[in-house]
Amino acid sequence: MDVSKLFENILDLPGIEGVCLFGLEGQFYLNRLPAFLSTEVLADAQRRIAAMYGTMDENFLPCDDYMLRFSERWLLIRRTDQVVLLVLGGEKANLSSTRMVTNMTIKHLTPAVLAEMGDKFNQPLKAAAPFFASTPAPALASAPVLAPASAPAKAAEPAASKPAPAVSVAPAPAPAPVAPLVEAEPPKTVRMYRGRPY
Amino acid sequence: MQAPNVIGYVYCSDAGDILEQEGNEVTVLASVLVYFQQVAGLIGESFGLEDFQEAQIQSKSLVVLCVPYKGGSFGVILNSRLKINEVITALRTVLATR
Repeated sequence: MDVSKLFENILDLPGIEGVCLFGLEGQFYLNRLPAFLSTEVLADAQRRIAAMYGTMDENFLPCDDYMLRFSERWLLIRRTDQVVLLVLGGEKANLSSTRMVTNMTIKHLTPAVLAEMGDKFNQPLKAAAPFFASTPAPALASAPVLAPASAPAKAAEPAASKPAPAVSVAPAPAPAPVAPLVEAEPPKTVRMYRGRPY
Repeated sequence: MQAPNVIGYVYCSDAGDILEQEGNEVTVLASVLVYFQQVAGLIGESFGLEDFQEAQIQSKSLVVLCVPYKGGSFGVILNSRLKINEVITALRTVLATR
C-alpha cells in the first residue's frame, strides 16, 4: 500500500491545511505543512511538543492525543509508539473526521513503512550534500595527496624496496596540521545574505 | 459538574494556585494545568497561531478540557469523549456568565 495516499486522505479533508510526521527522536518522515513551516522552523515546535508530552506523562497521565485550538486554526497532535503525527486544521475542518482518518493512517505506520519514509524524506538532503561538499572536497582531497607526495619522495630512496609501508605511515601525521586550515575556509565562501555573499 | 461525563473541574490562577475545584483527580491536573497552557501557547506560536482558546487532552481513560479563563486556566476532567462538544458548550456558557 502506498502510504503517501494515507496522508493524502488527511489532506483531502475539508479545512485541513497540513500534516507532518516526525519520530520521537526528532527525525522527520513527512512534512506537508504550508511551505513557510519548513523543518528548520518546526524544530522549535518539535522541542515544545516533546516538553509537553514529557511533562504530562510524568506529572499527570500518559496522554497521546492533544487538540490545541487557536483563534482560526487548530492543531491535532497524536503520538504512537514511534512517531508523532501533527495535523493543522482550519475552522472548517471536522475534528472527528480527522481523528477517524488519522486512526487509519497511524494503523499503517509500521517500522518498515517508517524506514522507507525516512529514506525518501532524507533523499533530497543526501542529494544536496555532495553539492555543498563539492567546494571543500578538492581542498581536503588535495591536502593528503600533497603531503604524502613530498614525504614518500624523500623516504622512497632509502626504502625503495618497501613503497607500501612508507605511503601508509607517512599520510597519518601529515593531514593533522593541514586539515583544520582547509576546513575553516569553506564557511566564508558559502555564507550568504539575501542571495549575496558577504 | 452536571454536564455529561464530567468527573471534576479545577480553576487555577496564572501562578498555579487552585482557586476553585470540585470532583476527583483535579489536584493532579492542577499541578500541570498552567504549565500545559503556557506550552500550548508556545507550540501555537511556533506555527504562527495566536490566541490559544482550548485544548482537548486525551488519555486512555480520561479526557481533559483546558480553557484559558481570566488569566488563569480552567480544567475539566471527563471520563469519556462522548458528548464532549456538549460539555464545551456548557463550559463556555458558564464561564461567560460568571
